[in-house]
Amino acid sequence: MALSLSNLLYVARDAMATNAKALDVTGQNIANVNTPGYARRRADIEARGTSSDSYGGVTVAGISRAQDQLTQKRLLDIRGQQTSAEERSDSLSPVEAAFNDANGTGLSAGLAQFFNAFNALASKPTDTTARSGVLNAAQNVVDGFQMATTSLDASRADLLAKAQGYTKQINEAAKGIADLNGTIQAALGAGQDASDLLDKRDMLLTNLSKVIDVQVSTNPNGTLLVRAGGQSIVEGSSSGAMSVDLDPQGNLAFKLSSSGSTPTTMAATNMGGSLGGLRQARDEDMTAIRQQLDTLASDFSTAVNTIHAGGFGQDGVTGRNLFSYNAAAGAKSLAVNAAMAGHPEFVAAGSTAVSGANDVARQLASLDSLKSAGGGTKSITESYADLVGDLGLRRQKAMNDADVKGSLADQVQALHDQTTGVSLDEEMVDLTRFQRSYEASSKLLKTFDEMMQTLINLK
Amino acid sequence: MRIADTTRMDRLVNTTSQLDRKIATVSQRASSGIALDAPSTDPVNAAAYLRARGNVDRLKGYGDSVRDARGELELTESTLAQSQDIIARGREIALQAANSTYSAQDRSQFASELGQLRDQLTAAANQKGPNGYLFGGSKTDTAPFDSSGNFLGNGDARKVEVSPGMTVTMNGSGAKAFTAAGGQDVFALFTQLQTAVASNDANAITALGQNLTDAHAQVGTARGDVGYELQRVDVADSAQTTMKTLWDQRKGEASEIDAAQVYSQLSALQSTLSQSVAAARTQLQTLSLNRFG
Repeated sequence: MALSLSNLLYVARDAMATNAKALDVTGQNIANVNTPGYARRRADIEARGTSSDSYGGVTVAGISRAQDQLTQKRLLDIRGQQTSAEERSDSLSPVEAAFNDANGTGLSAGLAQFFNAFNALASKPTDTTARSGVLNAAQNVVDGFQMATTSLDASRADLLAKAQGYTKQINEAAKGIADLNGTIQAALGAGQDASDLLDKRDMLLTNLSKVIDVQVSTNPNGTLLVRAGGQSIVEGSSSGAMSVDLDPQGNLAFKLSSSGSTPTTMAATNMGGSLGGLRQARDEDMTAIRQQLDTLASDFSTAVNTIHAGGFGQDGVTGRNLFSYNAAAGAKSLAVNAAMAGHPEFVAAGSTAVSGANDVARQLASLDSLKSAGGGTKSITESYADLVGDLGLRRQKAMNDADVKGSLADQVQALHDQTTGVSLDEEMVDLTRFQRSYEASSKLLKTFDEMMQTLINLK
Repeated sequence: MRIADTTRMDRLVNTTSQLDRKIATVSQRASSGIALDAPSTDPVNAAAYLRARGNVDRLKGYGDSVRDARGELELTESTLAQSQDIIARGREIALQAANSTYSAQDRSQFASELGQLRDQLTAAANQKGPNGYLFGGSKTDTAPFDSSGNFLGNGDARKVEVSPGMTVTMNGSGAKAFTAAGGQDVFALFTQLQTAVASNDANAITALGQNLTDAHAQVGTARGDVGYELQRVDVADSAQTTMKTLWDQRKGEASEIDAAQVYSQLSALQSTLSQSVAAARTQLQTLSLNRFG
């Protein structure tokens, strides 16, 4: 290449343009320091080689977007686990409130009152007030079971509605990702900078992973394949529509519909994210608590009825149950025998029709000290205490998981931000560096100008 | 290692909000005095609390039984004591009437008094308590003795549980106290004595006086049985007080705060929060833009 003074002019011009572009990128980074999902950019500055057809100098080869796919994948996983545990804990909270005996709710006071009422009847078998006290206490126990089952059923119904809300969020996010897949594929194909689009897609993916556990793979054309619940919910520029309903057992059933195809069943136990936590709380935890409550109601009514039916009311009639219970309907069906309601004289106190007989009342009063629940392994009160303990353990585990996963997620987020986050320290150094380079480039231009003046003034 | 500004800010916010949450929880415990604000706070203690609370609640019921049993037994005991006094008076009359110096008019007065004593004894044996007749066994709605002194009740013991696993009999046995089932038919003795006194049958009077001594002991035995049950009620009462203290203590241990621990925890958290806020202030003051200003 022949040495030409005009090359210096081009070198100076390109240096000024390159540093101006780098300053522009730095400005973008500073401006977006707090923008969620923004990944820092770098101007890829490279020297232009000198050759016969190149005057050298510098140029911006492109704008690169910082990314760390490994930590991003870990972040998607761990955030999903965190939101799953948080959702499980939050979902169990109202149920726990219905069993919070320390704060005045729950069954324990009612059960104690019931057994005490029979104690009082044993002391005063002919006393109408004591007999009415038994019926009132029986109704209180029934009310306690009703409140607990109502709380469980209401929570399960609320959680179904919430799950339906989550599926809407999932569908919107999936559609957004699919749309962006198409746009990104087109932009990359045309050689355009797709950083902003990638930021938006990553943001949607992050939001999606909080609601449902996703497995993501990147195609060579830049599009993402997103799978959840064993099905592809985003494939290229098309996305499926997820729906949730109840299966015959009353548990959540998830389906995925793609245009023109039959809805397919998604693996319910593999949901993860908020939806997975919600499902676990609703269909595992609450179901288990409800079953324990049903068993307790069954054990309680069976034990009481067996003894009570062996006694005589003041009217000399025997064989009456104090409670009615339908095993198929569970604890919700527990009620004071309709034939007994309003008839304290029907309450059996003794095993004979003699007025002062009180052995049946005595047996019922001491029922709580017998192993009449849990298949003969524990008392009614112990069985209830175990139920509450189990509920507490389940929620405590969810809370602990949420704390642990939250801390882990913060650490992974920090790791991820190490690569992709904006550091103002770094940007301020870059700002100064590129400004100085720009000044130097302009000085180069001025030098060229002075040299040209020298050359012109030679004559 | 690069530290992104978002990381720095997130850490400030997370640290402060975590401390705020902990302080709120501990403050709530300090102000309410309840450590067990929900079963999930301490599931093991929640179950222990429920067991303890169940026992405390049940002890209240046993306390009522103790009160009822004591009331009925004390009434029974005093009625039997009154019956013994009546029999003692009958025995005194027998001793006096056995002395032949008394005139026919005196004996007539003795016989009349014996009739009254018999009526008083019948009234005592038919004494009613808060739960019906005291001496009819479980037949509490029918007077256990008719005017002829025939026993119409039964021998059932009316038992009541006064403490977990401990039952007491809250009625005295009318049959054993007043009828031949206990050795002497007390009412028949009075009738016979009245007849013997009226007819001045000294031998019969002496023999019946001896029988009344036996009857006095017989009622005394029944009274002793009642006294024994009263003692057991006292034992149950005392045991309940001890158990209530124990269960209350366990209930408290399971649910209430350890004030010293909670206040020291609160103080430590507040101190940490102050340090955290100071550190945050320093970081905010040394932000890059300020440094490069």
